Amino acid sequence: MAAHPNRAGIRRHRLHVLARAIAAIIGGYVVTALAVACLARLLPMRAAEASITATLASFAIYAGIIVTVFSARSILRVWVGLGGALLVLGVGLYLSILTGGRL
Amino acid sequence: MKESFRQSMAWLHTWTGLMFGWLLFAMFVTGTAAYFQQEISRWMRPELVATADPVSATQAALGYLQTRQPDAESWFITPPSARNPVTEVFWQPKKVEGQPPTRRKRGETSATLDGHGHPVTVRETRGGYVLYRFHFDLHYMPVLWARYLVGVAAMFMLVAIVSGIITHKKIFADFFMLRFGKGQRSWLDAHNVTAVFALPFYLMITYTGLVTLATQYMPWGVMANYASTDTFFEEVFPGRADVPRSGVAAPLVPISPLMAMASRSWGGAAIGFVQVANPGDSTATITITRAAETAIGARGESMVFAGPSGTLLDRHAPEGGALATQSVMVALHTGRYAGWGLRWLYFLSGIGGTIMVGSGLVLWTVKRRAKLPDPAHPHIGFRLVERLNIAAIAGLPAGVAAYFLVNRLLPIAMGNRAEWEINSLFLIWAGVLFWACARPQRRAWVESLSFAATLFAAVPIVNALAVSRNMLTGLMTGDWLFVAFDMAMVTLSFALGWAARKAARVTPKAVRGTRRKNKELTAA
Amino acid sequence: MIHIVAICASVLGFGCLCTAMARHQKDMLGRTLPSPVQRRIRKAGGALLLVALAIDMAGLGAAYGAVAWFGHLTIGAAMAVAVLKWKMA
Repeated sequence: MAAHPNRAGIRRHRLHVLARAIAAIIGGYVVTALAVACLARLLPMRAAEASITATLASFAIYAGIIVTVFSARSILRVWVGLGGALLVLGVGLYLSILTGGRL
Repeated sequence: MKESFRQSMAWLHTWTGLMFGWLLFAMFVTGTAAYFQQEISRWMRPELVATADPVSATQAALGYLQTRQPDAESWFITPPSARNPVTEVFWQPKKVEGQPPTRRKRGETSATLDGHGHPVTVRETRGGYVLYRFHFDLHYMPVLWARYLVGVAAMFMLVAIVSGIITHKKIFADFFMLRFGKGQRSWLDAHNVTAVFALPFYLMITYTGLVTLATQYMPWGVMANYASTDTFFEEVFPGRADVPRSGVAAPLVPISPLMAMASRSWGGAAIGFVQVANPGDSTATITITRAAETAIGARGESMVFAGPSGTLLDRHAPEGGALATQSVMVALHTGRYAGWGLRWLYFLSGIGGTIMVGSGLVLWTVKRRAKLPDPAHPHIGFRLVERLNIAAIAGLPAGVAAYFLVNRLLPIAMGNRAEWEINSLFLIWAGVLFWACARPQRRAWVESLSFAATLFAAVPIVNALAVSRNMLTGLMTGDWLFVAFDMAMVTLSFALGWAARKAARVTPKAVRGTRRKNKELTAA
Repeated sequence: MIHIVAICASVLGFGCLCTAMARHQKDMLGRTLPSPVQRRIRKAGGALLLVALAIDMAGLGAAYGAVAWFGHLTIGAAMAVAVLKWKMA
């Protein structure tokens, strides 16, 4: 990381890191949860099998999101990406449960 | 961030590693020890010499339970095995009408029996089981919080592994690179080598660890398809509804033919545990479950028999590829299926992981020290990291050695003996932390490591003075447990002592590097 | 037993892979090797690691053997480095 010799620079850098961390840890978890839920409903197998498969994959999805958040070129891209995923997955999940119901 | 992908991964790796490094170190130490938890428990109960046949021991245990707990809701019996010579029983007491089930203290509803159904008279200890539980339940806190904490640590570890792989661009070129005496570079080499050599193990153990507690961390897959988790569990693990007692007494059939039949139907596999519901009643059922040790994919196949007649009522085997995959993942993590050779491989890989995390923690301080504006007076954050490093790397091993020592030293008849053994582990660990905070940094390393080395060296000595089984008698009588345990203690003592000597000889090196400016060179 | 044999194959395999690297040849052999020889030794090393896998799967079963193989690789790599350090001293 490039060293910022002045105090304002250091504080800006730390806020930047905090923003990425919140996006990755909390935002990433929410997106992962939605993705897992959607996968569980979409996978073409018995409900129980789909639920388990989606759960097994969840940690790989979460890790992938975290790595992506920290390598993205700007914090704006991060929020756009996470927000977009949240919207698509959230609406998709809502509609799926509305039409299909749960066991 | 304006840096390259690799650089950002290096930054991510450093911080995810540090944030939970101390907890991960503790998880590695206790997880590694847990692979031999049965052996540790046997060492800590040296009075147990006899082995027992699982079938006759189970029949004897049933006799014990029939005498002592005829009215219980259910009995659970874990027969003896190659690694555990005693029979563990516990029971669910009869529910009193109108009262919620009371939380019983440990020991009120369980017993440890020998092969003839008599309670064993051994010193009270929780043995290796405590180390295994600490690995994911920690201690002195509600298990739900502990498991969340441990899960976050595991997730940080997973990200650390992935970012570590991405950032280690010379993974093949530096594969065999281990240079001693070069300060920061040596620590990086040690970290890289231990990390790469068992990389498949770390990836597997971290991911499968998360999967083992996935119902707590990621319930969303189940919740998306099921309005209630009960529906899900009923579908995946179908069980029989609890049948109330009929009030008609009926004795149980002998268990031996049932165990033999179950074992045969599983290709000769051993029995994991036996469960009797409504014992002594005409509605009694006996459920025999396969042992987890018998195959990588074994997880809970069971057969249900009618108690009074022995008729086979039902058989359960988890179905489906996803469930089988999950079972295999959990089995890979716990290693319950592993024979001796593979168990030692698991253990050595765990030791590698412990060194990997520890060397990473030390590397962090060595690198930062070189960049400090005034190396003689670091800021408090840096000093905190250094002290926590000492407390983790020297303190926890010292605590474990103390746990073994105290097992031999506490009076057999002492009340709450088992609790005080465990408390001793944490008291010594805390003691090392306080010592490390009070002493100058370099002296603290040397003294703490020497202390841990001394405690481990003391274990075989105190053992020989306190009980009649030790390494020498073990070599003569083929008592391999005591040979292996004592040798492990001696090896750990040597390793920690070697580390203490190395720490004593460290002189702060002048930092060499093509990008450093002259004014940042620190004098010795 | 199987574990010992597989570990031996693994040590030899990693020993070859180590010797096939230019930066370690001086320590392992006392001289450097020409490129074609390096390539052949590298291939031999890789082959030995696969032989270890075959031994494990044949002797311990496919699934169990595959898991054990990773452990044997770890031990083999560690012992190869130990040999390298010993030769450097």
